Amino acid sequence: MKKNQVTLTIGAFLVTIFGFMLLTFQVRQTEVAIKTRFGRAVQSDGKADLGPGFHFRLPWPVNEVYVFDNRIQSSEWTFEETGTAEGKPILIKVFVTWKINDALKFFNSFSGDLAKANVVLEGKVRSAQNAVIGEYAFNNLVTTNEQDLKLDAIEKDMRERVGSDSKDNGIEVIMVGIKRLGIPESVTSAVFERMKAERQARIQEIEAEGDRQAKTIKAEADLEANKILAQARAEAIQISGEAEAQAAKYYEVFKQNPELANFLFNRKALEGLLKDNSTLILDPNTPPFNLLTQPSANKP
Amino acid sequence: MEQQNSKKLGLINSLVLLGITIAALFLALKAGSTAGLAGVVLLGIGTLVGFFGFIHSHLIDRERVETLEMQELDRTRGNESLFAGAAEDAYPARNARRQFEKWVVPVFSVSVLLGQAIGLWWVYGELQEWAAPAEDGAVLSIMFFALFMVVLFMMGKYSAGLARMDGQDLLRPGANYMLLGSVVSAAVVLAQAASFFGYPAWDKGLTWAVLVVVAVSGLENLITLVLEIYRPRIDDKKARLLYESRLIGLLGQPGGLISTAAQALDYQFGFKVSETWFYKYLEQKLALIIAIQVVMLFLSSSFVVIQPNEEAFLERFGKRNAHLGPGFSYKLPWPIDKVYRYKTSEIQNFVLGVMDENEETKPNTGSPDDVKVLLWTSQHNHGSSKDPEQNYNMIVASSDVSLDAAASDSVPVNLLTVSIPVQYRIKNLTNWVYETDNAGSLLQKLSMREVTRHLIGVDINDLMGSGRTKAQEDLKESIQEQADRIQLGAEIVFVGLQDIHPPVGQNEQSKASGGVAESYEKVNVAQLHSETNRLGALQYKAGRVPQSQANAAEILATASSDSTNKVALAKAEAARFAHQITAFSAAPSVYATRSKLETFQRATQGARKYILSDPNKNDVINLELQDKLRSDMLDVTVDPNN
Repeated sequence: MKKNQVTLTIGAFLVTIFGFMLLTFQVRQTEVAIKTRFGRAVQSDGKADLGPGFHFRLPWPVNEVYVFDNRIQSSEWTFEETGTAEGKPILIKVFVTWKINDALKFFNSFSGDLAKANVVLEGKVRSAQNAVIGEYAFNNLVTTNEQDLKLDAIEKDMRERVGSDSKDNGIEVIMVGIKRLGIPESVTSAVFERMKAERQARIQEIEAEGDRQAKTIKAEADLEANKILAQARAEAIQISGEAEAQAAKYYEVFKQNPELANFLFNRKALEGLLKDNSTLILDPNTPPFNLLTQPSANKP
Repeated sequence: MEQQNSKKLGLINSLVLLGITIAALFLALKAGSTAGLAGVVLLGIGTLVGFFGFIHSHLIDRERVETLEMQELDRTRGNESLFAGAAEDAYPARNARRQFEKWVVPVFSVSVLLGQAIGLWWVYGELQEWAAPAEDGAVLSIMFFALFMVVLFMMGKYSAGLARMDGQDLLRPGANYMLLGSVVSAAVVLAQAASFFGYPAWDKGLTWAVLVVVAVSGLENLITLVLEIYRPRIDDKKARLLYESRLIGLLGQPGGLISTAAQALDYQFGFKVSETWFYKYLEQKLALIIAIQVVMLFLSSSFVVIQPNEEAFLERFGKRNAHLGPGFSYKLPWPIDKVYRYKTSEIQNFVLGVMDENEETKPNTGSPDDVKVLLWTSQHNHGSSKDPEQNYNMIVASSDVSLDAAASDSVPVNLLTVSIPVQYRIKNLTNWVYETDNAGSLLQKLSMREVTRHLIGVDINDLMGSGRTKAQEDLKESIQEQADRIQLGAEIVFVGLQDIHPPVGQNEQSKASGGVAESYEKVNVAQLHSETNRLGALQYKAGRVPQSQANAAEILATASSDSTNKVALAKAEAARFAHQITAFSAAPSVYATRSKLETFQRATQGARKYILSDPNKNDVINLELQDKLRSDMLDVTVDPNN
């Protein structure tokens, strides 16, 4: 009997759970749902959306419930090459944030499948992105000049196009953002080469500038040094001249006996000339060597 | 009569198994339940075994009828000796049964093995692409699998009981599969319910469990087939059915397992453990104990403990009801109240431009291999071998005037390799959880957008030079602004620009000129050379000017000295001359001779002197007795008056 009671309790418990699951459903705070009755959406006040909370239902096939995530979704797709207004190639990657604003329309458009919605959105976004980028010049996308940069306008144009294309699908496009910009591989290589050439030019410029500065400094140093030396030499000549003038005053005395003066100058000059490593070849008759050949003392 | 009923029951079992298998396949596909598909494999094999058992029992029944007819014939003719030991041809049903057991049963066992292998391969393939079961059809699936569970259990239990009777053993293989099918249906109900309430991994786990059962059963089947080849055939010795799995029987009727365990315990302990009050009490109350535990588990969902670094939302019937902080909180039991917890104070991190999971997940242990030098010229932290698209360089604007002028023909951009860590934490949990699906991913996209927007409007040299700090602040500010604009509920804590540099990948390298990053390093080298050159010139200047100043001073000093000397000498010579005049006036010739000789003596003191004693004979007197006079010198004519 007791065993039967336990079995009955467990059975009742299971039946309650199954009944609960069959006759009710919950919609989370993050979700929105629609309920169909024999395949037709149940609407209240013209809206089929069911908000968060506890709801009743009848078992299949009377009622069927479809629940969707009601939060902002973000989708992104491939990094795609497109062309600007002047035909320059550019790679662009765009992301879109969107949310369901009409669950029934969303269900009708995509069978409630977020993946299907993403696929459909992809086509619309790619189309909008290529069309919009084609209306702008390259320097509207990449430039250091703030006046030329038009990214906000480009994103706004794309959002309007995608939003307009999707308004009947039960989704609201909140934002279209350019996530990445790039250039094709072939252009990339050329840019690398140009960057390297630019660096090489910079290297040449730096080295030439260094050389220029070094040579200038050296030339300035030489100039200053030569100036200093030239000035010193000039002053030395001047000093020498002044000394000559002063010495000339003392030479007045030589006028008293020019013959003696000349003799003395000659003697001094001779003394100076014979000072070092001179070799004299003399005649024996030269005084005082004539004493060697004339031994008699009486001879002068 | 019993045989007829048994045969009918076997057919009914097979048809029920077939119907349930088809229905289970439909429901499992609709609900996307791999556990359901694994159950279908098991039920499908059970269906084959059931039908085969039915055919086998039909042959045995025919043989039984034939035997009865032969016995009746013998009795009516009354001459047993005539037909005793009749030829085998007289028993076609028996021969057919023997041929069936000899050839068809092994072939069928091989087919079952093949079916098990195909089923394993199919479900394993489904597991490789496993996705959480869809909610659509989950309830329907649960309902029907629960029904299958009951039907299979009741019919299986009845058939298994009947199979214990003599001559009914052919019902046993099908009954075992029905009972195990009931267990698997219960498991599918459990997996579906768990998925329905947010635990989809149960589906995967139970699929693996069923797969293991099928695999082990297949292995048992193979071993039985091999052993069958070497089994000794003894007449009238009844062999076990080749297509009956012991494992399936054991799992389908766990009561047998329990009795086996009880017998093993009895044997090990040496007394009847299975007859003790404790064992009997456990056996009687097992269901109650399990039920109490389930209730306790259910009640344990009435409270929750939130950790210090967490915040949580309590949802009642899916609707947000409370925001819970750290600590102990009561709640209504599952499934009325559910709690979703989040680590709000924890700083989270993602890196823009770095996608190599191995690098990201590799911890820095401090070993020499981990502490490496990051150079512009070597690959580090960038790109991904798994996703070539991520192996990218970012466009940076060029402010080069010459490039801008030629913009109509070229692409006026530079490229930079970037990896930018962005750290953030949840600031507003409500927004973070309820406004955006996968807010972290959206924050990453917004951050990348801001980085792109920043780079395309800034000059590469500014960014890599003094503008780096400002760029870091600007980026942090703009990412925060965007996150606030869409009410993401995140606080940007840090944006790092430490790893922005010229491209370094294989494509950027060339044998002739190296990579772009290398070119940037060469600029630095050139700057250093230039500075060295300039400093050399300054060094030259530093020596050259003071040296010339010194020379100038020397020249001036020499000039001054010479001047002073000249004047002093002139003065002294003038004074001496006055005295010399006096001396000369006194004896002019003597003074001249004396003076001349004195001067000669003094002047020639260090000179070599040769006197030609006789110019005609070339006799030479060398007064210093040193080197001989060169012969050519002897030809010199000397004026004696000199």
